[in-house]
Amino acid sequence: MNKKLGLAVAGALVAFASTANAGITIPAGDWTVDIGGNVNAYYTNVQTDNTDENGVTSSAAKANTIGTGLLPAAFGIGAKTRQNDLDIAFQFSFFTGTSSGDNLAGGVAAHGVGGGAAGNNTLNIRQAFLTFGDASWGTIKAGRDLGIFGSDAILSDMTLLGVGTGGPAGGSSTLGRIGSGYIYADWKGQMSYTSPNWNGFQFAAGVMENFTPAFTDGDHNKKDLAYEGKVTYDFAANDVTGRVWLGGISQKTNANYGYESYTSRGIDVGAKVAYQGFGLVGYYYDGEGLDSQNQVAQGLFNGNGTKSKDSGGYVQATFVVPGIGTKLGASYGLSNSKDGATNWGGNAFDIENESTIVGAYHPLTKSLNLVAEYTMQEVKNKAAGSTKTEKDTISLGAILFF
Amino acid sequence: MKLLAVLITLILSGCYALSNPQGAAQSVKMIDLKTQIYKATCNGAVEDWANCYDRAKQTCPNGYAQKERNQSPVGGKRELVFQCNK
Repeated sequence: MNKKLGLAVAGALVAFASTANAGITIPAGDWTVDIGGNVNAYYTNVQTDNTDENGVTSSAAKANTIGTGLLPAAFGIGAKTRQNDLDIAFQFSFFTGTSSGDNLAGGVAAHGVGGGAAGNNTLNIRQAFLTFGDASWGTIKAGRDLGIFGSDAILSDMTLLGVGTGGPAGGSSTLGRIGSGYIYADWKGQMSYTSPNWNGFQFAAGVMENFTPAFTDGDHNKKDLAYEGKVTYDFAANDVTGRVWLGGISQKTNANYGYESYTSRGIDVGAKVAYQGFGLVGYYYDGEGLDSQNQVAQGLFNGNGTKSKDSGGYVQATFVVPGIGTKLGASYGLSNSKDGATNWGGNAFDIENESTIVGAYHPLTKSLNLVAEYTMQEVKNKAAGSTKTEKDTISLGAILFF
Repeated sequence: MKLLAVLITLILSGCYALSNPQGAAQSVKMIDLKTQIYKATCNGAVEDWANCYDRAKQTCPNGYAQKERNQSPVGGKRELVFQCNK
């Protein structure tokens, strides 16, 4: 009787420990429901200087805004269970911004006011996928989720939960190091496979829905799918932990109306190492037809509609101050994209997008971090005289994750 | 450079004043007592995978085997599921 009572008490304590330490996990019959996400808001001050082809610099008005950083605020709900010797799961995640919104779209000012209840902080459902598999043979995913190529670059970026480049905040996202160090992995309709973990070694590969050039709608088609993959190796030896990875992407863009078809190809390699509070990240990518620096937002995949030459990378160092717990970080990144006059707009471009970012990240509680960053960015188009845009961004805010 | 030094000093002073005496470290959850399977979390902007591996090491004096490593950008989520060696 006493033994049974002891086991019951031990079981109750384990159950209590589980609920006390977990995020928001709800047992629901055979299923376990997991709710997670974040809310973040940053004040950003952005000073922009533009230099024209004659070398004349002019300053734009400072922009002061409040809104989400690189990661939009998000609410995710997923659930998993095991049926017929298969682990099955699903995930939905709803993203939005925390700014006032902007009702000035299209140049029409509703009541002459920007933002307010008529603002456009829309809901963006970036994750909607199912998975099934088993630890012995791997996992298959079908639906919309983060792409594979470039995913470790953004997930290792210290500004992912901060602001980085791309301010002022507003809408639902800044850009962090997207386009100033790496290509955006983006959220893609996909069918992918992830292998079992063999002593730290793992690979993932998948077919993705084709990303057609953003500004040539209707002139390119989705005849072919895109292919992405990566291999990773995780290690934890004594006090040194880390990951190394190698990835690749290939996508054929088929043009209609006699325009030139081309294939985008890219590879990336990265390493992330941590030792007693110090962290280092090094990342490099190279390829053709990858980036959209010239036509649409920096770092978005294949928006230019041309087989541009692309390369870039970033280095990042972080250190957690003992006793205080604050993480200090500094990073430098660069993205290059150039093309002759073969792109859709017919303009040659040779763009160099570089930035230096310093940041302080403080854990107020285990679920709430305070963030301060300073970003210096310079974007030059060497094919257009000495034109360049310089942005200095100060950001202060908080992120709560659950 | 002087400005940077002043900024770092100010930030660290502020962070020290905001240090939480109850601690901000994340925890380890026991998933299965019988098989000694645990889940460590290291979410957010400050913690990283090294913190999860440290927790696994501290939880399992005889070492551990990694079972799952889950990461989601939705909330800066990082989870390490591991099994203690007997």
